[in-house]
Amino acid sequence: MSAPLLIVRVAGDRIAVPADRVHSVIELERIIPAPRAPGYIAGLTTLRSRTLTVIDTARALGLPGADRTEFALVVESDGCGYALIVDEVENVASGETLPCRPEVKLAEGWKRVAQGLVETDAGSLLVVDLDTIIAGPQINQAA
Amino acid sequence: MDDLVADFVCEAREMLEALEGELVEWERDPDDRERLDAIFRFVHTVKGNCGFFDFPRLEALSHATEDALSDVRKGARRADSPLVDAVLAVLDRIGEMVEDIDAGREFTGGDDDQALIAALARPAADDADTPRAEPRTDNPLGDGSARVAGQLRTVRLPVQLLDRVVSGVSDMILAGNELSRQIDAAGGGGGLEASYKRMSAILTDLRISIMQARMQPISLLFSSYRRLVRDLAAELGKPVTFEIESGQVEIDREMIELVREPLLHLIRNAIDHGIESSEDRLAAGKPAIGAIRLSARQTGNQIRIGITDDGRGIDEAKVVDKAIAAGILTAEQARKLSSEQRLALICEPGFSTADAVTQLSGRGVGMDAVRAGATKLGGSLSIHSTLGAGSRFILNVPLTLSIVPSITVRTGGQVFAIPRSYVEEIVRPNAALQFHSVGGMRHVLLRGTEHPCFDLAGVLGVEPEKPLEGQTLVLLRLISGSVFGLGVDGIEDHGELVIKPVAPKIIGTGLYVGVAQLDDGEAALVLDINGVATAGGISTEIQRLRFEDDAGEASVNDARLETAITFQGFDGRRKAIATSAVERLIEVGAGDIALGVGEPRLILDGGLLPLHGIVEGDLDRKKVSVLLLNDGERRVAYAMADAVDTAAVDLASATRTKAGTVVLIGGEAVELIECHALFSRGGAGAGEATCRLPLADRWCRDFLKPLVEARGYQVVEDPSAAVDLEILVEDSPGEADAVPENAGTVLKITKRRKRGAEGSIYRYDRDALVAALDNAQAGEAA
Repeated sequence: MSAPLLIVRVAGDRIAVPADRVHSVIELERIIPAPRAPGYIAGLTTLRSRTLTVIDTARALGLPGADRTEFALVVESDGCGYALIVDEVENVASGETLPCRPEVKLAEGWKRVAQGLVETDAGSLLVVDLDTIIAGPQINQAA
Repeated sequence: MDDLVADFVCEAREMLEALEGELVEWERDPDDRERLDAIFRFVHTVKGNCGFFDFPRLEALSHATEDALSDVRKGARRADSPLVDAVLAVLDRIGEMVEDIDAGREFTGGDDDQALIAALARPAADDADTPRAEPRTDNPLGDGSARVAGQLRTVRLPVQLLDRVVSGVSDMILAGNELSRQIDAAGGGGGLEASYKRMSAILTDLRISIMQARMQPISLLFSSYRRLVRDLAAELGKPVTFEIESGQVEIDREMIELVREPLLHLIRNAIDHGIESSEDRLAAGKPAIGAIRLSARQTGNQIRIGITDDGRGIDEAKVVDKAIAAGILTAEQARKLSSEQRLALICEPGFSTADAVTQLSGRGVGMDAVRAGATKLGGSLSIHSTLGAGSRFILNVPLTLSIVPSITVRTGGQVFAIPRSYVEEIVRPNAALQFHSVGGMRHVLLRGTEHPCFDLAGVLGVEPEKPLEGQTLVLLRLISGSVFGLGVDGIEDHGELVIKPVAPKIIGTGLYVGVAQLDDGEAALVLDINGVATAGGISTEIQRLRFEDDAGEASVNDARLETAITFQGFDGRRKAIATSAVERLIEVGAGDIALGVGEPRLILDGGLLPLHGIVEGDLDRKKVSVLLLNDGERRVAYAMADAVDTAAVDLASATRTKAGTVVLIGGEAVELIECHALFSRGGAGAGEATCRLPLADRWCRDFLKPLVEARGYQVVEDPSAAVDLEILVEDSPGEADAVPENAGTVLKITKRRKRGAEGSIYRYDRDALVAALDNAQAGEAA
């Protein structure tokens, strides 16, 4: 199955996300914090009359939080709108998502969200599941 | 093809929903031809579609049902209870299958289709002596097809599309606000402002219509319970009638989903606990069949849903005993409760009245969950009961979830919203407030009552700008009746907010109910007041103890201390008004204020109210905050130029002069508005003096009546009523010149100018007329 993918950079790593799930890429202006919410939730932002929950994607993966909060992917999940912070949006690619080969080793945080690998001109990229990122780390009280 | 299947699923679902109620009615009156036709039409449609789509199981079921019903239609068979049961079972199965088709999966329902079909088959015995009704036309669509033509023209559209339109309109309103700011910044000018106003009015209309489009008749929700009542009544062996009275009440479709569960539970309870067994009922001198009534009424922005049963009622004493036994309160506390508060104990967590746990009501949500559900976004639940005669549960819910009157507060540099229904009072920081610690909890002494209070910033884990003592306290009243103070850095604004759901992980904190967008486009989280209270350490135990304090609240220690609302008047001075007279605070558009035609007036709910505190030339803004004052009978409005706050006013410090009263608030001299003066002044007399004039006369009706009303009279028609002023018109049709006995002052009006006509006035002598009208009123008042 070959579906369009969006290549983005999160916590320094290049990853691919299903492009059809991404409504748009926005520049984050102001993030309103949501006190007491799990740490990977950076807060709220507004996109016209919509309110989006901003997800610190790196923290959702159990990595140190993002230091750049400039760009975000607008994604809908279970009826709510989210903005997933990414370092950069690089390119659009398409390719077949294959199961992870055993010789490829993933760090703990990535393992949970990995859907498979895709071969692109830029090399092997990890395809991630957006809903799992939005759901956050299993033990989200770690925040 | 997928589109066709989707259409089929959608149609089948709608028909099934509509049929729920019909089926039960049909069972009660099997000869009801119209209902039979409706059911027949449904299975006929399903059968036809199944053949087309190749759903053989569905087809077999619908075919068998159609056959059975066809027999009934022909009069070859009677719709007896086994047949109705069988048809219901088939419809349930069809419902399951439709859902399966929609989900695109294999049929998951049982594989006993044959048993269902067998149940439909006619019992062999009663063949011969079945009474045969007159056979009717065999048109497969029945008599109902004629009705279709008369229906309103409607289109079906997906909910998602509707939601997109709603959010589009919201976007436009926000963009409009932005535009308005830009125009203001650019200093207006040109026709820009007028064009903007026009657009903004259109947008407001559009938003109202689109909100209406989201409304659904509540009767749809109500009739979905018919089946439940029938099944429950059968299961428990308690025959009940179920009456629905919903009129034209409509409710936001999001709200429907929120009340569905609580209502379900209340109805279950009514049948299970409320209605007695037939024997008990007969023994109590009641009809053997119980009655349950579900009603809905709209009052203002609220919908009152009532569930009434004529069962055994709730035994107050028993409830109290149980509550004491369960440790919910002490016997002493219980004595101080009102009847309604005692009944409300059944909503306390950990309370259960069922002596024996029945199959139905012993599980799932309890009354505490019902009340929690109802109050989640500003609703309420009240309970009334007469022992032996029945109970009534009233669920008050807001018309729509979307728009909630709220105040916004600032803490730790961030803005949060609080639904206004919780807000009791706002207390500005002031040195006279006494804070102290009681049992590890901070309390503030207000008018002789201790209120627990805490810092919102502490609960949220943010850094407040000042310590609790220097903060503004928002007094909030919880459902349980307890009041607590929430310390915030400041009050930002008040107004109607559109509240939207927010990510489950944020709701999961228990501190928020949703998110709203402020006028400047920024997001603000809406606080879940119950969650915040719990997080702040207002435990349920303390809330229960509060019962007694509330009862004692009426005795205010220091009678000379009164709360007042303070604000900036349009004349630039700070003013105060006693809170007791204030009904509420609203924001109105400048267009709703009528200036320049005599006394300023406010257009509200389609009527006019005298408006004080504003004169022509003051109105340089689009929105004006207005205090509605109420003396118990009438209302007047008072316009405010700037922020509102509350303060304790020491009436002993008041200095009265001819020009007005001045009090000291926080060291500042503030004008205290005397409510008496407002209500007694000028146009406020409207509605007091009555006047009767010959309304059959066109001139009187069209020319004179408006003038009379403008002078503050209430025009009466009833010829037998006593009036303050009777106006007689020369040569008016059908009226003799005889003066009725019950008339006060009499005023005669002539059609031509007459010289020396004592006591009568020429009808276009306006000055004399006005003077006469005013004199009559003044004479009455004297």
